[in-house]
Amino acid sequence: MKKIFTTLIAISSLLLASCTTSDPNSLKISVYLGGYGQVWINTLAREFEAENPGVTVTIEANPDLASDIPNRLQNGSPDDIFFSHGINWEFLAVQGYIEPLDDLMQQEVENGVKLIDKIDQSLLQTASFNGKYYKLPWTNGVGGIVYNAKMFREHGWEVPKTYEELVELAKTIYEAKIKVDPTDMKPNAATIKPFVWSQETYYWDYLVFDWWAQINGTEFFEDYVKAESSEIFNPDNNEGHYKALEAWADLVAKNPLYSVEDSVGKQYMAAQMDFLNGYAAMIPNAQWLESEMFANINPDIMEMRMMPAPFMKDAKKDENGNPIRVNYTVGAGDSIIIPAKAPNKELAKKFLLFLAKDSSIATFTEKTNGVLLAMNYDTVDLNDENLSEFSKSIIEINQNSQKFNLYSNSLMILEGKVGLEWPPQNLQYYATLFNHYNNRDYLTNPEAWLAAGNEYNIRGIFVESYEHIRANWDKWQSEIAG
Amino acid sequence: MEKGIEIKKKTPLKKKTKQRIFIILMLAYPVLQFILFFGYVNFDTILLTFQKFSWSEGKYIYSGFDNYGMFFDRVINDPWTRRTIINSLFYMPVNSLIILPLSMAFSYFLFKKVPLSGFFRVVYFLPSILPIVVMTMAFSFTFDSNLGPVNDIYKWFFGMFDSNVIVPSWFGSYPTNQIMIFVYGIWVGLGFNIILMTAAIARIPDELMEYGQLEGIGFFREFRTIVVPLIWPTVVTTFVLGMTSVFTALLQPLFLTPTSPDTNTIALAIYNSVLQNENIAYMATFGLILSLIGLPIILLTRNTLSKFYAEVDY
Repeated sequence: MKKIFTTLIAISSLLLASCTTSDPNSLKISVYLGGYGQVWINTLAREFEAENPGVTVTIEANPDLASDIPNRLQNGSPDDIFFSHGINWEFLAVQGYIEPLDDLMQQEVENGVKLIDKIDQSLLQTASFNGKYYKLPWTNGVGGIVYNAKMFREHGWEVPKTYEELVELAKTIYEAKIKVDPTDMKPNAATIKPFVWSQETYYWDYLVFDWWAQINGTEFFEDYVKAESSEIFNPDNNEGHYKALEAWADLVAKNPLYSVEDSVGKQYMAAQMDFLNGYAAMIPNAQWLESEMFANINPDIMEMRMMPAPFMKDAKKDENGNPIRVNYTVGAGDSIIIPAKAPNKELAKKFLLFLAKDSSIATFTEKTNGVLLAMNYDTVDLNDENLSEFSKSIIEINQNSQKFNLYSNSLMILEGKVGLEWPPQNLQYYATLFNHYNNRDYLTNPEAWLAAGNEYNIRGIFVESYEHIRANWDKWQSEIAG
Repeated sequence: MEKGIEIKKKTPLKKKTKQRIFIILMLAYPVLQFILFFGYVNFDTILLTFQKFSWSEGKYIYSGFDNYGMFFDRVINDPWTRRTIINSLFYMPVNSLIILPLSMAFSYFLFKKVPLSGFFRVVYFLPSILPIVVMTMAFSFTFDSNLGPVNDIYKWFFGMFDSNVIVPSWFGSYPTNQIMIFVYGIWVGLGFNIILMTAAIARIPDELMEYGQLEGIGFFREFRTIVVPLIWPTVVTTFVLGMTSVFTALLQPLFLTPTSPDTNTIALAIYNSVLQNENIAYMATFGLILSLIGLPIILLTRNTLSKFYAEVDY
């Protein structure tokens, strides 16, 4: 009996040891499985193995990874690297669950270039907290208006360069009353609308924030994201924010019929299907749309492109008097991290250096249909044959714009006391504004309805928000433990 | 005297001792589970309500009643906190005063084998066995302007009275989106309750039903005087479960209106907070205070309802 008991203990110990001891040549990478797919990481893993004989890389591509990461970091797991959105990494880093990367940042990637210099400099500030680097920013995204180039070509519509041209284009598309299905003889047959969108109204942010930055200039956001005082929310110091929303309201909310019916209540997948099926010429979306909907794209109907944000009249100009192109970085908070308890940290760091090489950067972009890593692309040679036209339009915008983002490591923001996107609480106003105007009285006689004093005072929202923040600022600061 | 070799004999355990060991072993697992997953978790949660996260120290530190103060401050000053609580409270009447009576009535009709009862049994049960992701998607697509039939029917019907008819935004404007979540809840919730109710009704002895029929009582009186009193314990349990949905309603708003703050609930607010690792201590306080308010109300309701009919063994 004693022998059996001892043997059982020995076997259990061996099993336990096999679970906790890592193979120095084994690397586990866990990746959020979303719009980018997993071909890119599988390809990079095989290339890394080829470059490092004897190394084995295993991949976990998981759509629910984000919610698992805190537990895995706290309790330890076989993961050596995480690629994911939605990691509250600052909170986990200060508790010691994330490996600092300061030493890695100073290491050479290739040709004498250090990792810190290889990272897109507009995103470097999103990677540090309390003076230490804890993550690599993952992607350098582009969002805005995606349009159907085939539809534009067939109907002679031009891609708008200015806001006024966009307003005119939307009017033209709506008034053309072109049937989605030309064979549909019903009197109420669906006609092509300028826009379709969904309950996920924050997709409009990608356009509206570009307008905001056009008016305020990207340098405005350097102070704005520090969130050091309630004054940054004063509309007198931040005209671009409310003017951008006013522009959106004039284009979309005040023209409810420009959008596919009940866009404001649609599931995002239904809205994207409507776009692919030709119910609308444009959709607010981002770089992942083509990858996400790849299986449903019918090339006879759809040629997807991203348009640069049309210029506002008040856009800041460069020294030559041309309006400055800007791009709000979509997904600036997405992260690549190494757990402090990772079994094989050194190999993980080696993989991150490999990821920053020009060839890996090109592989990532080519295998994700144009998604850009948060790296410097100056020396990256992308193979045009491996890129779709949609990808090219994304890259063109990314490479020819001043980039900005709204990442902040202010405790007022991290503690959720105030939101930078839509202060005070980051609740978008799109649905509220759209529903305000989408009523029978306005649609039948807009002039009379507006003359009756029903115009929505958008600047008023921002003034009210600022006063609320100013009144509560000191209290909120005192609630933070520091 | 010559010393003999002593042979130790194993003394067999007494029957009573064996029984004790058996009982202890059988109870050990559930007791340990209770201590760990109920006792410890709740103790830790209560402790958390007196703490806040220190960013400089990287750990939770004692903060007295700050979180409690913050809760009452937000209930008074923050309309979104109030909206969250009010939305959650509405789940109680929907579950206990709409779904429950409807499911009792439908269960009775199914039990009486009314025409097409087999068909309706499938119709009611189907939503209960399909994943909620599929059900919410199917439900919302039914009301989609291009994928579902409802908007066309709506326009055709109301178009007869008003040529400028506008279809409501089913999931994009408040309170319509909240009402739609309740409609979905009624559609899906009926199936689950009907399973419980039909099982309870099926246990009623045939003799009692036959006695009623011999007395010449009708459907309604049979339902009121025989069925309801005899299934009352199940009704009370279901009623109380309906009340607890105030604290548990999560998946319906999460899937039907994923980004709308209008339809937030207590459970969804806590879920999002945990998911994003944000304000966990405050949300623990939020949940605890509301539970402390809700618990006596639920217990009082259960005790009051239990007194309506004397419990009968059959």
